[in-house]
Amino acid sequence: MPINKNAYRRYKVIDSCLRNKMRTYPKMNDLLAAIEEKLDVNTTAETVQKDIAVMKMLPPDGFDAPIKFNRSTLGYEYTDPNFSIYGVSLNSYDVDAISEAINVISAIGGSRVSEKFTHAIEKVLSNVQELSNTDQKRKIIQTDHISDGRGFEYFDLLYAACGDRVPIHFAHYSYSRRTFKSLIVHPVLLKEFNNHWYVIGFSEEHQGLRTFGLDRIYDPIPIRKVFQDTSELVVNEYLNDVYGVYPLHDGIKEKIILHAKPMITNYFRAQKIHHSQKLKMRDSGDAIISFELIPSMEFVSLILSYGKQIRVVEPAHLAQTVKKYK
Amino acid sequence: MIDKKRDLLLQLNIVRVPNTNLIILRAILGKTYTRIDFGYMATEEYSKGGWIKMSPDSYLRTDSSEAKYKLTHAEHIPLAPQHLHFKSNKDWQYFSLFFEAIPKHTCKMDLIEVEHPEDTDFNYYGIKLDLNTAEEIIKP
Repeated sequence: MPINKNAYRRYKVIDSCLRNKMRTYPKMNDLLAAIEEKLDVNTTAETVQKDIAVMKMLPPDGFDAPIKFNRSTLGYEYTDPNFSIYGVSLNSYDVDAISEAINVISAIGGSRVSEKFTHAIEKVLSNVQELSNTDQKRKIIQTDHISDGRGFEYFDLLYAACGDRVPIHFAHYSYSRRTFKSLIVHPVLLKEFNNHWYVIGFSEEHQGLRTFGLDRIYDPIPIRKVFQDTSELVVNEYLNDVYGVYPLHDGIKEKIILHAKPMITNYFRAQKIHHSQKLKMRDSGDAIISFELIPSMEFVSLILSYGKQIRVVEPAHLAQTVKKYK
Repeated sequence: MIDKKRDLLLQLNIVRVPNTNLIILRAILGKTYTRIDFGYMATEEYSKGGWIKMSPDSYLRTDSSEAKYKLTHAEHIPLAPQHLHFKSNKDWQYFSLFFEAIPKHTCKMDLIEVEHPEDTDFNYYGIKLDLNTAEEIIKP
């Protein structure tokens, strides 16, 4: 039986009361007051008694908590003074570290992964907030995201298909060709790039690995069929050689040379955009930047985003493609 | 060997002629329904791409009987007299039509929207449903 999230938060409060060495043997009224104070909800003695009963149950339903009502003090106690429902006791440094990690997960994960994961993250967050006993803090991490993108509703299904190795049948619309097609894909990976999600898998139509934007997929349906697996090595090769997700020019890896003016050079010096990037500075502050990669639409977009500050030296076909979109 | 008790999926990708901006993507043969999924691309023939709708009198028929399998409902396309108006001639629409269940065996099927159609009506003839190429759907 899954533990209700609100009940779980009450257990945490009860646990913290029972572990408080400064106020031992909390009475029922103390527990009710603590729950009201920390969770800002009113609850009843009956509910707390049920909570204690559940906490005493064996896992997975409960925590096997050694809670006893002490008749002499008319309060509750853990008969094992080292017991905690967390399993391990955390000091304030541990709690701060977890809080920081949770903030990062909350900023990144909460917006970019599915509702299911968000719920799990919220659950962890609520626990840590109780642990650290801090009020809601101002948000200090922000990531670039736009929620509710089309096709994201298929994330859970595609995630399960990748994990369970189940082929998927879906309709696909190509923005560039302006055509629909229905396809069978054996998905192996979900990838995010520039705030867009993609599924990568073996396409029966193309007889090879392909990338499909979730925003262009319609009604994916799992089908009963032998799964055509693609090894992790092949997938990594496919992904590592390309900047972005949609390869151009038949997906052939090649040497690319760019000429960057001083201002843009700084960005490339600060952070490589691809592991193959090599940068040769000139006295004037300009740079010659080279890559060994498969050119992609995303790479073309990146070059275009820097306007006249960057120029494709070679190959000629990439220079032509960039010129076409200028 | 496929299990006919399960819902079956047939990949079709059949482009309509002469107007090639409509494609039948796939058919799903269920126990209680037949579903057909389409893709439609708006054309430059109309300003802002024109509109689409489906006749509520649409039906399926197969070459194995005289029976008509009526349209029961549609998703992502309105039934006439309602219309879906596009906003540009580069728009597209994915939609599904649900009919009464046709028998699960290899056959040819017609989709009739209008008895005496014009080129713009969504009639399809001789759609081959080869159960040897069908895939079984896994229910969630």
